[in-house]
Amino acid sequence: MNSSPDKSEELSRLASAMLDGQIADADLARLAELLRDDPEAHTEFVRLSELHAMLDSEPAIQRSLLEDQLPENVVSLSGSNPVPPSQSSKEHIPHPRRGWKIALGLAAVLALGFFLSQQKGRFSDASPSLAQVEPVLKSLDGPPLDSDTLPAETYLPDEEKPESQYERAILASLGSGSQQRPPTNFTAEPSADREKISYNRDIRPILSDNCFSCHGPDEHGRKANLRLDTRDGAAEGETAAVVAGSPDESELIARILTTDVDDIMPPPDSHKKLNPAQIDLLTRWVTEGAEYEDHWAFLPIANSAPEDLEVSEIDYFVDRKLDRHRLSRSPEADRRTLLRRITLDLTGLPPTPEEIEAFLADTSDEAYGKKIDELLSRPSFGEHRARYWLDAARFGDTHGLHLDNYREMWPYRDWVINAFNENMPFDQFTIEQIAGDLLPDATQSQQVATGFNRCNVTTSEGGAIEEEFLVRYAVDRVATTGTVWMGLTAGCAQCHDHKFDPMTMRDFYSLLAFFNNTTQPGMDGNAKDSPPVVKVWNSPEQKKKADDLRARIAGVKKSVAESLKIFVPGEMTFEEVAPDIFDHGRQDKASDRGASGNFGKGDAFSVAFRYSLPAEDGRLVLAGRTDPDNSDRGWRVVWEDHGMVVELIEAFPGQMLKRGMTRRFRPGSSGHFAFSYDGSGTSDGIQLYQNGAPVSSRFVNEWHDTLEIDFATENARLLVGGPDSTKKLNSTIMEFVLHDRRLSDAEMKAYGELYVTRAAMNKPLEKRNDKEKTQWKNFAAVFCEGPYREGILELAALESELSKVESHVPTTLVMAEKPGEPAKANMLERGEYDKPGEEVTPAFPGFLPGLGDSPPQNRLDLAKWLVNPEHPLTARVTVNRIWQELFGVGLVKTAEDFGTQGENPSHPQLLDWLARGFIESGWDVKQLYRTILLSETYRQDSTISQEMAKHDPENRLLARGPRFRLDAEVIRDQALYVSGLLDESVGGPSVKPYQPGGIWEAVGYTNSNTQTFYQDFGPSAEHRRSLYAFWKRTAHPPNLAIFDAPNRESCIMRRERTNTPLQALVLMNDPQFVRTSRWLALRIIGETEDRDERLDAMAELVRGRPLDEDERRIIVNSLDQFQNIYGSDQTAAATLLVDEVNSEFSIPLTDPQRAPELAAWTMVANQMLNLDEAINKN
Amino acid sequence: MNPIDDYITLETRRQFFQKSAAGLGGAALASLLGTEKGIAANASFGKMPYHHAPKAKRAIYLFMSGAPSQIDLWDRKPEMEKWFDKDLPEEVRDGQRLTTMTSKQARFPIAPSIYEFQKHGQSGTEVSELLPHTAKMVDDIAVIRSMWTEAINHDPAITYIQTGNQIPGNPSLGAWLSYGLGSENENLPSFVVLNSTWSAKRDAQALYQRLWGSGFLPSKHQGVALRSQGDPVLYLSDPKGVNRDVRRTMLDGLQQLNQKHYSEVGDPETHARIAQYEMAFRMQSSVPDLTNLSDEPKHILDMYGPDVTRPGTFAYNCLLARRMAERGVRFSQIFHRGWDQHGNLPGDLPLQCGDVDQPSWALVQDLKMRGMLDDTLVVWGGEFGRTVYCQGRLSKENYGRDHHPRCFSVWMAGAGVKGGTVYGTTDDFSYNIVENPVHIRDLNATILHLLGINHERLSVKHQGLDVRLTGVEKAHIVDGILS
Repeated sequence: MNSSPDKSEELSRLASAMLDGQIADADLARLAELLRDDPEAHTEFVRLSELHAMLDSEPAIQRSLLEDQLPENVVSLSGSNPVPPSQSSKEHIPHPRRGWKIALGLAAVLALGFFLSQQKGRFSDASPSLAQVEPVLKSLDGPPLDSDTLPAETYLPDEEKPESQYERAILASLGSGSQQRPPTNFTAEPSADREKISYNRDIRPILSDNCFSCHGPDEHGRKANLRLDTRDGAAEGETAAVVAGSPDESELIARILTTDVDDIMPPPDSHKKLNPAQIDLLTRWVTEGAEYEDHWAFLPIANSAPEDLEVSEIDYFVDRKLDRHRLSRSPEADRRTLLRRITLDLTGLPPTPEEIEAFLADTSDEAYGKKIDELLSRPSFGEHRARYWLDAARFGDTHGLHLDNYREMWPYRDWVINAFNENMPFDQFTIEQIAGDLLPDATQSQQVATGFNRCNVTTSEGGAIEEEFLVRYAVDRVATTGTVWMGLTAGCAQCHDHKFDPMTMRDFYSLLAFFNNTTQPGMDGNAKDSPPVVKVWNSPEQKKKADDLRARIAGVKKSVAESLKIFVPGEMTFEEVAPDIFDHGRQDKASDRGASGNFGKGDAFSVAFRYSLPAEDGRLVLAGRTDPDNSDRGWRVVWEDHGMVVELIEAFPGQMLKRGMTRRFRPGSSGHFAFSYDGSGTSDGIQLYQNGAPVSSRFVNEWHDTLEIDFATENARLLVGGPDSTKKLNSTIMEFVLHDRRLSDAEMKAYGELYVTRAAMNKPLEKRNDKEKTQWKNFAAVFCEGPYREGILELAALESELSKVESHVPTTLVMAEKPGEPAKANMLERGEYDKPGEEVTPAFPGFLPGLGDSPPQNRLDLAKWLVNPEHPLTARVTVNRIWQELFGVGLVKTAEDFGTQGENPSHPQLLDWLARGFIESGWDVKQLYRTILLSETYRQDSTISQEMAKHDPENRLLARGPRFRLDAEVIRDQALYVSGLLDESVGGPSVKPYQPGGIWEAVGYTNSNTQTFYQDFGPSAEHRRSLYAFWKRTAHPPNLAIFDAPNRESCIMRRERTNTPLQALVLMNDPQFVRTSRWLALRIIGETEDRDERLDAMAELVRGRPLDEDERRIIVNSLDQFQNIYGSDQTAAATLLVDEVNSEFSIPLTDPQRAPELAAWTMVANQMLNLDEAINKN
Repeated sequence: MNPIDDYITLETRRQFFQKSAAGLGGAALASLLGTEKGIAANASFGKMPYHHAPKAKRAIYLFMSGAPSQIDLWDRKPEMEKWFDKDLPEEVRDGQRLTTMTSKQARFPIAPSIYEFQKHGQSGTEVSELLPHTAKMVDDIAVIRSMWTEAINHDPAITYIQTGNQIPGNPSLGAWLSYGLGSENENLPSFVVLNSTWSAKRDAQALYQRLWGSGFLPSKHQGVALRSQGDPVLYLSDPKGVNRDVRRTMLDGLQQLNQKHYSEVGDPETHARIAQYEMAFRMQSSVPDLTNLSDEPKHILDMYGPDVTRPGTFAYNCLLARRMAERGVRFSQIFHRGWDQHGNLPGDLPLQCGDVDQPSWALVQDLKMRGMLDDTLVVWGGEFGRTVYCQGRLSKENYGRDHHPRCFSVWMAGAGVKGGTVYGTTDDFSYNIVENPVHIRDLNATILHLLGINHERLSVKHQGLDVRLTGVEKAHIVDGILS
């Protein structure tokens, strides 16, 4: 700025003083002078004010500003005389003018706000009369302040311009109720009697914000035994603070008017203040009889649409609201925009040019509705819906706490996708997720659905206390269920009765009891399948086969045990019995055992050996058969990071099966290690053995099976022991054996004990003790022909078969009840797990309608209660969430909070009509989308006038169509789709497309199995929809996170939508997006030689419409420059065409001459994919 | 007119609407401003009203993740030598809940520190021999020996101290600062996080992005983690084959197209987006400039020690933190992992101290030499303390220590901090606080206070509550360490 530094500093000082309410009169005058004289000072002042507002919202200023911006007030201010005239409001509000008057006015109103709120003494010297501070702006929705003399119409001159009308209307609709709301807080529809104060609309927000935390529902924190949230508490009994009809006798009014700092309410240390308008509302409310109303969201859902409407019910309600503001809807959007809007909304993908053409060609009346039906039937509909639901369900692929290990949970995601695609009624959708396991003869699918309540974050941190975390999990479930279905912030009642809503602590723990009967352990064991889990069988036959095998295995085990009992070892030496084994001493070179051991994906095989590790730290291949010339294809056993790891490698790194143990094998240690592989092609098929005993792999280092083809290779040698190529480490490997089958556990045990058995056998027979004799017997039984050996071989074969049958059968986390135990819970003092209080049984919160007479028993009752048609919240919350998906903001903006601290609905009757209709349709989800999309409200053009942008930025009045930035996943999916790369297959495990290196490593616990990010390669991983991206909750995919995708540690009902430079960097430079630019360019170039046709085709793909002349001129200009630059730098051009992540996706260049053209078009594609229009829904 | 200025004007207006805290005042102001045009824009970065006069304009937080042993570094307990291998008296433990790692231990034998402590500086503050450089500056720092927390395990404890709540979901300290104070530099983020390599055993506690996350605040307030491999800021570099001319050309065309679209559709967000692209373009040069150390003289590099030129080391990160402070980054936080010495403390603790001792000292000296220590706050500490009793096998030479929430040590230096102070006292066992307890919320309140923020007034309405970094319990400014 050009102002002198001194002046700037002075301004800053004065402004700070004023904003802190500590300005002297002389300084105030000086501030006004500064602002009047210098428009730049004015700008700076505004910024200061804004930042101050961020820091601290002073209620008084907020309200006063709105009320007192009229020029009459401004003029009246001379710095020392802040009292506004009280009869100034008959004029209509002029459109604000620029210039010094504004500057002065600004200072004035801010100052005024402070004088009114903070320097009350000045007023009270005279009188606390309300007339002096009566707000002057009459709210249209709110009660007129003096309706006798000021009918609403008086200040709506007919000649007013539409823009001014809009602006004024919006301003008027703001502001009733809680003063700390964002500007677009629309209140409930005014009651028929517009004169009367409404408790819900006008009073509760004030009391809730300012009073309830001490005088509300929470009896523990209640001060002075005064309760203001009920009429009984406020107006009855000896402590009555409200005398209906007599504000002068009401302590409530006296205490808010007093200037005595000891008496004034709210108390100064609460940092809350009432402004004059609020005081006036309270006073008038008392005068009118202090009538209370129940909170709107807890009242029954009304159904109040009139019959025989000429427009749809949605449009009727929207129009009614607009009429009241003397506004009207925008015209319908053009057909291209509409098609793109519905296609993005229903499938998360844009329309293709062919679809656009067909839609434009179909001019019939039914075209639009038909298109909606077609889109609703696509599998991408379910995928797109699931993406929203998974935010609410807090779905992730890791446990989220501490180690943040992999959790196998994706079958639940598939369930959600299928449920939406099958149009499962929402009541059933609810029941199966909350209590599918408790349904009679619960199907596999119904059990999988209960994964909803297993998506919460869990831990297995060493030292953590089990009971503490079990409580946390249950609390999370109550809070999430409360938020997702009821829009209640139930979690608040964990430690005390809810401060604002009627939810008591007892209600909370009665809800918690529903979730408190689980078989789940407090510690998740860092396992992917922390119980309870189910296996997700492909078919009943598969399950039956596995069951049969298990039965046979049990039978053979029994007979094997019998045959061991009767086995008598003959007179044999150790050497006669033991198989061929190989010893490798400690030396610099590995022992070359020839070309044997060439196993592949489908071959079962086993390896066992005794090892002695080097004394130094490092990484060492102990044995293996890999081909260094072919990305180490083959298999090997590696000691690394103090872990023993088996790798079956197709291409290192990344494409391999890997299983291992860590933290077991220190330098210098020795022991026996073995593994068997069952030929199933999964890492689950690798069984590890330590010292002869099977061990669960404590950490599966590579959790994801990325073997695509095979790991067999001719070109490798079997090498045992020997040095690592870099560190000169070496090990001793003894008793090495290799089998082309899976060994039985008995065999493995025998190998593990070779060493001791041999030592025992070296003793003379008579010196062997009983233990040694048994050992020898067991050993010999394994290796000598006979029924026992036959038995264990059969056993190994059967186990191998079972393992194969069960391979690729995922598990998924589910809910299960402790059998036979009734659900119950203890109230916890202050919410602390180690302070249990009174025991409670499951019950529904008392302030909501119940369900029948018998007390609820379990989650199934809870679920049925939620979808009971009489439940006032479930349907409202659900239709609101869907409305929010489509319009960007819900009818209730706080989609997660329908309680008294949430916002009131902008269109309460519309909300109720939708909710009632939803229930009556049989909770038909697709029908709900159809209904909304067919409305004219949804179909409006989304062009925003300057006034709309200013006064209704979030489009709460719905005077235009929705326009907002697409969500992270949609932006990425769209780019893949238009470039022709998207892999549209539905369902399955999560995938890990490219992300920059080091992101997991920077945060991951070193022993976590998600410490290291291994990218998945190939179209089936790199080009899947973002819905399938692997969600590590402590570090979720960065290019999605930057576009506000939540980390899913907790339930999210409403995403942020920010706009940052990091987003620009993603779209410009993320290799994933650069790749889509290349392939989009290639796709277009292949379609036509004509430049303009190419540009139009590209524009139509990316944003649904061709270019106009101006746009074409701009882009052609860019294209020319790109061509110039790349024409003179062919190397750069060729470089841009190389895919740095996966060369498979580089642009194939048969003719190097074409590189500049392709590169230039790549940049044009990059430009288009970055267009604001491309990443917004219009 | 300059489109950026134009944007910022618009942006200001836009923010008025969006800040829920700004509320109606915002709407009214914005309506007054509605027709304003041609206002010079980027004049007042860094100027704002505070709740009170701030002492610090910025802060650097050196976070020792895993919990450094206060007994071996800051809280000398000479009495303990007599207690070697004797059991911790029951009355000292006083029913304290223990982690399940030692709660099953049959004994709680005391492990005296094997490290020498000496008095340093004019203040005579006692410091362990493991921190020889830090010891040189005790007169510049205030040591709090009486920190405490409730959490006994890493994940909840570190989440607690960073976000004010043991359960994930709340904004981090840095996010609150970014939200409350905004940026001083329009080309760099206001909150930057640096993760460091460490020298003790590989197995180290995890960090979580939530520790610098924005919780329920807009995600633009989350910390930007500068990376030591690849681009310092994610996706910063243009693709290979795209030079600055190409990028400029692309952006020029993009800007014209977006401008045209704005004129047709009228969404102010479009304007915001134009400006964000320009800032991204500027960041592409300002960030490499930040991480390019070639302009640092040798004596400065030497001061930070030999690791300073290796990206990702604590020394390198300390130097970067100073460079960011110079450029107006509001809050930088350096995480150093590996302080969780359950066993083999004498093996690992010296390595950890070796990583951080000299660079921490150098950072403070460097700031001081530039006159920046006066308005820069430096904080050093972890998430809880460690037990006086041994975990695992105890010998004269070797021992381990379990988690201890009841007391630990933190130091602060710089703006508004009274150097040479030792605050708070623990008992002979460094087990219970005897005098002047400082809860972690008090520490956070004090940090906010020094930055000009009243912790009770920095709140955001979330799920119907006014949520604060310092939570619902009363927090106190630690006046005893303030100058």
